[in-house]
Amino acid sequence: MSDDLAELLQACARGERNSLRAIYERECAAMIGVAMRIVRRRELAEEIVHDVFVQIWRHARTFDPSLGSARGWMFAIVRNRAISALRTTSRELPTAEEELTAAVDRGAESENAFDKLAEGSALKRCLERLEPRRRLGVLLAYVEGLSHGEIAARLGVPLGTAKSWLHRSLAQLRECLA
Amino acid sequence: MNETDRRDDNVLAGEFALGLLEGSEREVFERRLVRERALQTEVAQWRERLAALDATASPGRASPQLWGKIESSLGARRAAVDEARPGWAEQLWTSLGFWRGASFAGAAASLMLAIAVGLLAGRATPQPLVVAVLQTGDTSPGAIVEAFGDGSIVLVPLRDIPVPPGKALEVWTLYDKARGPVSIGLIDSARRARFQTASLPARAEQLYEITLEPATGSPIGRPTGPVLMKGLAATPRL
Repeated sequence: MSDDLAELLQACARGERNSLRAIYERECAAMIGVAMRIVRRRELAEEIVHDVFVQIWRHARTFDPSLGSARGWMFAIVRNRAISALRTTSRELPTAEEELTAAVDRGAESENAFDKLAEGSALKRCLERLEPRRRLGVLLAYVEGLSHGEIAARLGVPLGTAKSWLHRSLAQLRECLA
Repeated sequence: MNETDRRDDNVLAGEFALGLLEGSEREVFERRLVRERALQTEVAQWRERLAALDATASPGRASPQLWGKIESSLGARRAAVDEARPGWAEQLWTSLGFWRGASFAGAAASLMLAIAVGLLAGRATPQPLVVAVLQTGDTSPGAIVEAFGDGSIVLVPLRDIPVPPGKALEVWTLYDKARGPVSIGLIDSARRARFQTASLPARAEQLYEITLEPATGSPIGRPTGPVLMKGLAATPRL
């Protein structure tokens, strides 16, 4: 399946629009889902996916299969775009207090994502080993696209603490997943 | 590189993959990422490690118009380096060479253009529907935009525009205030470029502008960076 996607990407690099369409048919719904968890607004998620496909089309030739899967590459674009959009919208929030409130009602999607990970998979096992609040920090960043500051607000800890928790959690995760 | 640096880089790559790096920290990392293969590998490995989380999102339904919108943006975003012979404005500008170096304000430049168009009338070059002289903050002419009847738009920079690493120039037009600026395309440096758009309107008094955006274009489909130059279109008097 992922090999198919890599081939489709290569065809996009040659200018074959049908291949982009094939990627769209296959991945669009999943991309909207990933973008929605971050930006939480349907029409914005759609705008993001629109931009993602334009990016895929323009940058297909830069995809390097020796570095990783085609799917990983494409979903990294989805998350990048969604996170930039989220940062832009949160800057538009009038007060720091509203920003705080916006962060505080986050977390459900993160917990949900964790629950849905396949039992016994390496990622689930390694995330389980993290202390629950630290695990939530990692998930809030990846699944919901929160910044260090927002994660600190959500976890109710100082910014410095949130940063060092994330730093150490990543080091632990990497060791566990190696 | 010693063991500690390598471990730090790994965590840094993880933070980058998570989207946690911001501001200058991110810029420094991205600059290194372009050059350092080892770092690219670290980032890719983090993506693979965490990819299973992407699969846990509930799928969302796209509106039926989404594909159509994507398709019409594909042409618009692709700025092919123009291989054709010098276009109309460029010939014009070259023929105006003797004016170069003279200091004049944008308004005066527009006037000169209007006069000079007469010099070139009759040449067998497709003529644009509208021409805009984009002015920089100090109102000197920065670029010419020509919009043609077939939807193609040609940009001819008249000066260098410094583009920091990781950034690009995005060309926009505003023809409907309610709709907001629409992206015409992206270029990595101030060079002559032709954009094929899905026949955007090209009318007199329509605004064209160039903003500084991330290398992959504005993430939100609207200008996010500073406006480097802008100008209103006028119909050439031929």
